[in-house]
Amino acid sequence: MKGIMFQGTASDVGKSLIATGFCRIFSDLGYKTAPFKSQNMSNNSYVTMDGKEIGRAQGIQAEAARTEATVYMNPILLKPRNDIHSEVVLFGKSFKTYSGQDYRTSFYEQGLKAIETSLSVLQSQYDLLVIEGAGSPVEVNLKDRDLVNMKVAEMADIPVILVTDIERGGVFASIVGTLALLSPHERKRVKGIIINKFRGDVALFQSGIEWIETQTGVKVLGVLPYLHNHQIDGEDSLSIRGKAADGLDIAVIRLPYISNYTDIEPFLFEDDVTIRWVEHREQFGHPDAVIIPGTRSTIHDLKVLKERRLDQAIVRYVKSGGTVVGICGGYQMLSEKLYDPYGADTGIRGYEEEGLGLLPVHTTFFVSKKTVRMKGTIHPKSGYPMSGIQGYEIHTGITKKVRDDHRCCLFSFMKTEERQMDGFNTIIP
Amino acid sequence: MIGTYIHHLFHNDEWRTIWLNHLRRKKGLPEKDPLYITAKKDEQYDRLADYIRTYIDVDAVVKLATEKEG
Repeated sequence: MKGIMFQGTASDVGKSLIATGFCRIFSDLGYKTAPFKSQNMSNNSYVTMDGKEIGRAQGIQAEAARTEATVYMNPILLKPRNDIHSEVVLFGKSFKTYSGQDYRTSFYEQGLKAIETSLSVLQSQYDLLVIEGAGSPVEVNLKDRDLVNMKVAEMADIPVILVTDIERGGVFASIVGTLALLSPHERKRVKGIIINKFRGDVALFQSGIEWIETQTGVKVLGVLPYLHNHQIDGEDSLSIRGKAADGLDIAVIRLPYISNYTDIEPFLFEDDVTIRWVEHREQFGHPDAVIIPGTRSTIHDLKVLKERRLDQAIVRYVKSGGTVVGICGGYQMLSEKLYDPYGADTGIRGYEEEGLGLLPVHTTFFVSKKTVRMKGTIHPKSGYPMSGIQGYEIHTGITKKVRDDHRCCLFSFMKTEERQMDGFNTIIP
Repeated sequence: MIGTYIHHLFHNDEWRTIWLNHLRRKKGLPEKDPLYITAKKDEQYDRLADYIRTYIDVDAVVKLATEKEG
């Protein structure tokens, strides 16, 4: 099949962004282009039209390629639950939680099959693939269980461009070293080199380019200067730029297991809005609004919030008329009580925790996770003008109103494919 | 105060503008018209592609991607 794969000399050399750019370039040339990355490790996912989860980067790349993202573009997504365990999302659905060791020994064959299926589906639907590797292709201790780099290039049978980053130095050693550690037939697949994150005058690097080409026999296809202030979000980072001081100041509570922080992304485009991460009480200040985002471990992060006494800061802020939006895990924290009867959130059966008590609701965690796309309208009783909204839900908890409170109204009417929902979103005007 | 399970709530341009204008009013700032971020994003993908075209031999990459060698 037609296509190109970008592999890196290390993580974070800029493969994702370069792949995103090439998705647009190939699309501009009229090729029906799909992005592909066999396996991602990230808590920041993208939800496809049919409500499945894939890595954020492939979702973005599909947008750049002007196509709809599907699970075949990233069949395996590892979401770290803690330092040892990861949840494996296979074809967009939660599959199993593994420790790193178990994952390598027992998942490999299944992973390979998933990649094979995905490549053949993409091949039947697209002209060209832009594939991204992960980390370095020559981690010698892990190479026999490779599911992300040369193995994928061989399965798709496409050439590889090696991307390296000059920012931290060692560019020559990392190129020559990476090529030297590849087997001869793998090395033959590397047809070009891109040097990324260059600062200064590229002309001064000409002798460096010549040295690399003579030494390795591989052509340097370009030197890319450091790209400042791009708003296209990468795999796992969201760069927040400083903006005008006289606009709106929105504080986003930074939780240890924060997930889906793309919820904040639209504000980056608003010139008069500054997004400020708040981790500690001293950073709270006097924001114009506070957003509590989603988290992978609600109760754990709620306890961290309490340890840092940010809970008191938030409660006091609301009582003085402040605007707070809790999304998903952040919403669950606003509850009076959180119940974890099956240990789905904490790993401890029957665990209970007091919430911030800002909404008259209780949250109960269940084992099965729900991911669903939805469309609806803001509820007329919410105090806000009617407006169409869409988005998606992805959580294990159910939140219910436990008593009447005239101040607490429904936030929206939501409709999903399965049922008409009176989405339990709540607002105190 | 709002609690919701809806991710990408603020990706709704109209709703985001309603919410931000509510905050702007509260602070005595001028209200604004909606900003359509899908179009903004599209511009950024174009800009990224142009940036890559400037510094990378795109023809060579296209040739690699579309020509099968042994």
